Amino acid sequence: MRVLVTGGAGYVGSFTVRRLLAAGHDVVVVDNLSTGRREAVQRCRLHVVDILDIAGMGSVFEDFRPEAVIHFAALKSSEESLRDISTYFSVNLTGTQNVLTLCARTGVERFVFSSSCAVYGTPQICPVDESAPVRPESPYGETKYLCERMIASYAQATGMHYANLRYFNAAGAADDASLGEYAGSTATQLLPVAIRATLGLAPTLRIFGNDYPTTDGTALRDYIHVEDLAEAHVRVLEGLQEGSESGPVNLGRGRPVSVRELIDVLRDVSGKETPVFMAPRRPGDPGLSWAEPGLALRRFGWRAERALDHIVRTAWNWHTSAPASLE
Amino acid sequence: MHLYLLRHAEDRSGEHDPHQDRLTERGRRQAQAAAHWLAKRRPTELRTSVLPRARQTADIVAAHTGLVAREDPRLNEIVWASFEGELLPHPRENRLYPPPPGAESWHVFMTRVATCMSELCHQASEDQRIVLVTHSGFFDAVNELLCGGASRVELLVAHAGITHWQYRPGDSGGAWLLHQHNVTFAPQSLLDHEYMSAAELSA
Ligand SMILES: NC(=O)c1ccc[n+]([C@@H]2O[C@H](COP(=O)([O-])OP(=O)(O)OC[C@H]3O[C@@H](n4cnc5c(N)ncnc54)[C@H](O)[C@@H]3O)[C@@H](O)[C@H]2O)c1
Repeated sequence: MRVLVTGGAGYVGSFTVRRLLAAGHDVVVVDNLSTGRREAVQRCRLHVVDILDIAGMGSVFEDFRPEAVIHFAALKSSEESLRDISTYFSVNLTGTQNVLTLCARTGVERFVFSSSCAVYGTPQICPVDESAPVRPESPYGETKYLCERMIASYAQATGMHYANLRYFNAAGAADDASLGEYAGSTATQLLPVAIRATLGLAPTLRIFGNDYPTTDGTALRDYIHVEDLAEAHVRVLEGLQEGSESGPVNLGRGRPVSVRELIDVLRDVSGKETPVFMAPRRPGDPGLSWAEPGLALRRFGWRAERALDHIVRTAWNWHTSAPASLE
Repeated sequence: MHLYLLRHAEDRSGEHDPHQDRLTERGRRQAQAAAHWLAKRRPTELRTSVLPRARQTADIVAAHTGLVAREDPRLNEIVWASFEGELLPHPRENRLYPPPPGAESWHVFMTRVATCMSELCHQASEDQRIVLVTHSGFFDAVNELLCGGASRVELLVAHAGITHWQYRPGDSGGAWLLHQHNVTFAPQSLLDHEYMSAAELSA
């Protein structure tokens, strides 16, 4: 299948591209390299284009004539979106609309979108399933939900099959440490930030909130290995052609893990203590969030296979072998 | 996991002696009837709000079922009163904005309810039948958390009314099954375990 991948040089995108190539698909990546890396997509064609540049995007679509699009390109920090709401609405909404316009124009048949557990927001009774009422708490979560609605409308008008994949917290790296996450000094993802502090590259790990009504007081999240996520994209993309119903699908392990637990596993893996500092809760941060992952299994035969210690071990190996990943 | 939400029985409102019985005589009878009905469902666990009207209702359920009532303040009613005595808008119309000191916004209350429910789900197994002795706000919060719709729907719950939810993770028909809402007992038919809705009772 000819698959155009926006944001394919990014973290989840680059793992997905690898698997698409391994499954024999013909892949073209469009990425503005704002957070993505050229070296993460060495084995396929990369066009350095911004999704806001509809003319530039148009010529890629015209040349490649994709049958399917996987749309990763977006800005992804809830916290940053509170400070820079206009940029978030512009890149995430206008960018997505551009991609959809070109899909409609060139007759793309399948569309897979990176949505997020941020659409659920809080409060929610966990595990959340896809029919839970959505309550996004940040502009970021709001843009993801609005994109989902926009995709559903375009699909209804064009007959395109789609899946809005609601990822929980992506983490981990390749088993052989050949690919992983780039988390610069402004990153907020817990695992790389914790690894940074464990390596002494930051004074401490700030834990936001230890007064959540959870067993150890810290927030509960659902961490999923990036290889599992990548595998899900391939399964979903191929599964969509069988005419399954389109809509949102959770991608998570369905296991809540507290910040404390994650740090304990990191200690076991690294043999080092992580220096921590307790900070107040952050606005827009859900205290608990984990998935009911059953729909992805029933519909696409996918379930997450990699356990928490595997996530932590591969992330540790990657960041210690590729110090640039933390710069 | 089956959850039986039980609203506290009729209580004396206003000033009262903390040592005195908080439930009215009718309230005690309501609680006994509810406890009798619940005991036949062979509940496996009993948790209660710490507020006396709930705690005393739970004690009656404990006596009928042989279970020990565990207190959980997350089952308490929303705290919605002003120290200054000012008139407050309905909490569901004032969902996010900071409530007066000491009070809880509807959002904060829902978060408390969601945490309690999530924890139950996390530890859930098929054969659990848990009685939660609580207050009418909790019934609304659960309904709103599961069904959305904000304050479009308010639930009528009688004193000692029981709502039976079942959590069925992974069921394609819906993870939550509502079996019955507001099961109540007409005082004259306590022994034959009939139940009728609060609307029928007040008619
Ligand atoms: N990582 C997670 O835990 C997580 C969770 C939920 C949802 N998501 C979503 O998954 C997608 C991928 O996330 P990621 O973690 O791989 O992030 P990432 O930042 O590594 O990847 C995003 C990619 O999009 C590119 N990009 C950004 N703006 C662009 C633009 N205007 N034009 C062209 N390319 C642009 C970036 O250069 C990058 O390569 C995002 O849409 C994100 O919102 C991620």
